[in-house]
Amino acid sequence: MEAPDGLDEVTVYDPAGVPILSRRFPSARGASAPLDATLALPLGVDVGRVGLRAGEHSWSLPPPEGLGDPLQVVIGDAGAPRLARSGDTLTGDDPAGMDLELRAARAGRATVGDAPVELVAGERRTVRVPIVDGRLVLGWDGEPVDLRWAPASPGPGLGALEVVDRVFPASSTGARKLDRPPDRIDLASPAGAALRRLLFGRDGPRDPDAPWAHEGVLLRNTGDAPLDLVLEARILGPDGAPHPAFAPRARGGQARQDRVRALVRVPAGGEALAVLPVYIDEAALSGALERGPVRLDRELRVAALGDPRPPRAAVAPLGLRRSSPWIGLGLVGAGAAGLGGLALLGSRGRVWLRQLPTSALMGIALFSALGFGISALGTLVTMALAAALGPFAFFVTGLAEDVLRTTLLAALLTLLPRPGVAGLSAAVQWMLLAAAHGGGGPVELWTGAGRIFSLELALWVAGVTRGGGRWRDQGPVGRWARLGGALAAVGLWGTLTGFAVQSAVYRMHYAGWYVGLAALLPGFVYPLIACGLAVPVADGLRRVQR
Amino acid sequence: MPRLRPVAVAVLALMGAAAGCAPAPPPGGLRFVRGGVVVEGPLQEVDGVPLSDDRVLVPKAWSPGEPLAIGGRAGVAPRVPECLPLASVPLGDVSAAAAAGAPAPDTALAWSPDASRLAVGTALGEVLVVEGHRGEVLARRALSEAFVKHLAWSPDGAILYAGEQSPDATLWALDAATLQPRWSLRLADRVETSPLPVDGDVYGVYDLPAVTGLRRLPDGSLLVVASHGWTPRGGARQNRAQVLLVSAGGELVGRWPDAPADALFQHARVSAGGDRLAITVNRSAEGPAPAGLPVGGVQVLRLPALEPERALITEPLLPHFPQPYIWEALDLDEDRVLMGYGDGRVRVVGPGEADALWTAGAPVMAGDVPVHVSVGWGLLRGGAAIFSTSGTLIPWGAAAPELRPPSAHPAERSVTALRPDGAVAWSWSGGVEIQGLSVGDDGTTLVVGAGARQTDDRRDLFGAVLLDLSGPDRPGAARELSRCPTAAPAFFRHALSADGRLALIEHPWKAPDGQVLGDYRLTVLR
Repeated sequence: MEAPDGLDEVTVYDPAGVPILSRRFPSARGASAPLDATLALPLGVDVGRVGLRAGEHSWSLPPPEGLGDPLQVVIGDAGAPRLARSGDTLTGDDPAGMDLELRAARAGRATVGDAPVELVAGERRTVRVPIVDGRLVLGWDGEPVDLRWAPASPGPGLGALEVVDRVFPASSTGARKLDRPPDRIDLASPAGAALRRLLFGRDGPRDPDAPWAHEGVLLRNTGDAPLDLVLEARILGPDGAPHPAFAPRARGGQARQDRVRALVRVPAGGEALAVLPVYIDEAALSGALERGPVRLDRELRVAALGDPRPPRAAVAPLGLRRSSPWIGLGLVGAGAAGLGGLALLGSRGRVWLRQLPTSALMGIALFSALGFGISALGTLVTMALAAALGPFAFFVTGLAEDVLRTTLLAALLTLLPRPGVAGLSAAVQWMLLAAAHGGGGPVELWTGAGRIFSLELALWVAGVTRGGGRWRDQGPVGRWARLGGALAAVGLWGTLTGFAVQSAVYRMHYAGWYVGLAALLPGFVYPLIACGLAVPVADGLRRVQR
Repeated sequence: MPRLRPVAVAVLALMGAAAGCAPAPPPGGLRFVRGGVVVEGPLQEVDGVPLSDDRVLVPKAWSPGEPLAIGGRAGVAPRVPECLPLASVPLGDVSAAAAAGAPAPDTALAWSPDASRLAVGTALGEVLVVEGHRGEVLARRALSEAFVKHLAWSPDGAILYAGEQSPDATLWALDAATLQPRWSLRLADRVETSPLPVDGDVYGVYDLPAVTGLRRLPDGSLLVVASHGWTPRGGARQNRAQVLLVSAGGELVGRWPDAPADALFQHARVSAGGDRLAITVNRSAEGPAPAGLPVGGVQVLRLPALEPERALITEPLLPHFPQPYIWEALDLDEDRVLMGYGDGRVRVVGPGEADALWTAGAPVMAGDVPVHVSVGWGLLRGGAAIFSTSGTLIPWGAAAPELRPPSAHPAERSVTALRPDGAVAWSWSGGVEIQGLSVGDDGTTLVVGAGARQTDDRRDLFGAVLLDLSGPDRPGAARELSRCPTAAPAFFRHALSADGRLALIEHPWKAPDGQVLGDYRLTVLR
């Protein structure tokens, strides 16, 4: 028999040849007609033969085995049942019993274990049939039903599986995110969150439906068969229940899910990396942090796909806390300085350009260009050194770079102790760096304007740019103190607000000691050293000027 | 096992041994359908209703085993009537959405009062009026940017009312002959609007405002339920819903509550007498639920005054179901309300007596894993509460919901009828993936839709099964009247005319290999 295009029609006849029922099967676009036919025969009819038609041919079959049984035992997948036949061996997980569906063709009494089960005609009932000595204890009308049991082999299980590592936070590829603290979530401080809401609305600049981060799970299979796994992760609150703030926002939040899932195949003898998204509703977490940091748990469950055995579970800690309030304050300070710088350039920039003689402007341009050259070179050297020193490279290169740039600025101010000189120099350097490095975005414009404002303010407060430059007639220590004090204050301010901006805008994470060290050395000490070197250099230049 | 008599269900396969093989008989002959005979051509003159493909439907009562000859064709009547397609109407191409994993296309169906025409509202936003035997398209109009969700006819068949799910959620009164609008009412003015979803968002259309209930009342007015659940960009999820009473001329004559509620009214049923309304009340919005609404339950209103009569809430089935949820399993008759829950329970609340509660679908342990069924559709007929159950599921809140259920739930994929005292009158199961229950206009034929398979790729079980609700207590298997096979899965809304014509919506489905098979079309069977 060949019916590659499937069945067109099935007719069931009684022993006298009278049709009981007939059914045609239409075929769908792109698919052949079905090869199986499930027919519902009326109760109490006798089947003589089954007629099949497929294309140009037809067949006549005897009724399938088991069709005449008064009690049918249904086995197989719930969606594609088949009838067990006398002498069949059924497989299952539990050697003590099996859940089986009984269907009665007529009213009668089944025996399940020791218990009688009355069935009416046409009734179907799922019962647990005990197993004794590898046989199912089942009977019908006093006669035993001959069915045997054998253990199922649901797959290799999880015995060969090792969870090698869990990385949080990770990128979408599962790689550890070095810019964030491990096993911890730092949310914006109240001030930072308020500022972000003010600037970007309720959800901030982040897509609320996008994962906040990911968790990478490295799995190893020491067995000789591949493992198909389901990984499921959820965040548990202090009460051990799934924390609603971490529920994935699928289908507009309608899906009642408190966990994320991923499928992964781990090859035999190999490793595989599974990546699970972590969603956060920051608004829903605000109340949880009122009494300080919170300890949560990251629960991971790993199960073999299609294996009904319980999954393997593991829990790892997850810290949750607010980021430092200093970040919010620093962001506000940087914002205020940026606005001040833009206001200063808007209101005084044209005046500075008009009042300064061309020679002075040429001097500013010359010193600024030199400063840019030093910065560019310093950037290249820092990048090269970073291969060996990592984030500490600029502590080394900054000593030379800051000293040289600060020396140039101090010399320029010694020659031209007027408001606007430092600001114009900083503006020229910013423009050159923006053109050369592509750093002309809004954040860079903001921080550049903030540097102009802080420079002009500190130099004016220190008396460098007022009083007609009489400070230049003080002794070397006095000149060093004025210049060094002003530029060290600017360096300290710029370093601290820079970290705040990086943390808030780019969600970078810095250790406290690293921030302190950067503020102390490149921010404060290096300008003082630079001014110590600049004072004699500026003296020499001033003598040349005279 | 001892061999006695044949039984209810046989699974055949072509792998069996053939007792004989012969060329197929020539096509044509008599096909015995419910209450009639289809004579297949080419024909001599036959007195009956002309069908497509040279066929004629001859209304005729026949008896099993009876030999008949009509129009030069002869045949012997079978014991079980056949169910044949009479007409088929393509409804458009939704295969891209099916390939993207979209749910079955939402489609509305309504027979005209004289059953001569059938109105179809498609998931592509079209309304069609087709001739009821041959499927000729009498009128067709693109109406909505999204779905046409509900349809209703005026008593004289002159006006067709259509409710959309679209950014405007418009209720239309259309001339049934031309589908030209007579009047329209924009419900988004009441429950707010949402933009169309971006391409590829297969679920986004369900965030549009919608007419979730439309029913013509005996006095000619229309009962309309509007509902909208959406998430504004960057905002918290919002809900709005309101029940409206609209005159035949399109004027708003009543509403409940006075201002749109912060909830979702997803499904509505009106009692046969048209004096009471039941609506499911759900909520997906953020923030506290409004007071006085039975969120997760049912609100019953008296009509036409739209006065609240009772609010019905059922305790959640802990620990697996923290909140009760009713989908379409809702109905009410003169004094009772049926509620079927996603957790597998059915509750029938009467006016005074104790509730009838069926819990056989609730979670049971299969080894270490809980399994349950959900109750998707239900109705009250002739004193019985009739409802259907899904395939076996693992509760979302269970230990391992992603696993395959280790064994079938005892109540899976069945239709059950409860007596008023809550006892099971009968139960039927035919192995189909049940997609909707509806009762024909004859009042005694139950249509059980058969949709896309969840656990296997068999294609012989699409379509519908017809069950006989009449008569004394009989087992469910003895109530099966006929099976109406279709080429593709059936959508859960179907309509059976008084003379036995069944309108089904077929839709494409995704095969296990990812291939999209089948068409989106209307099929009329008898």
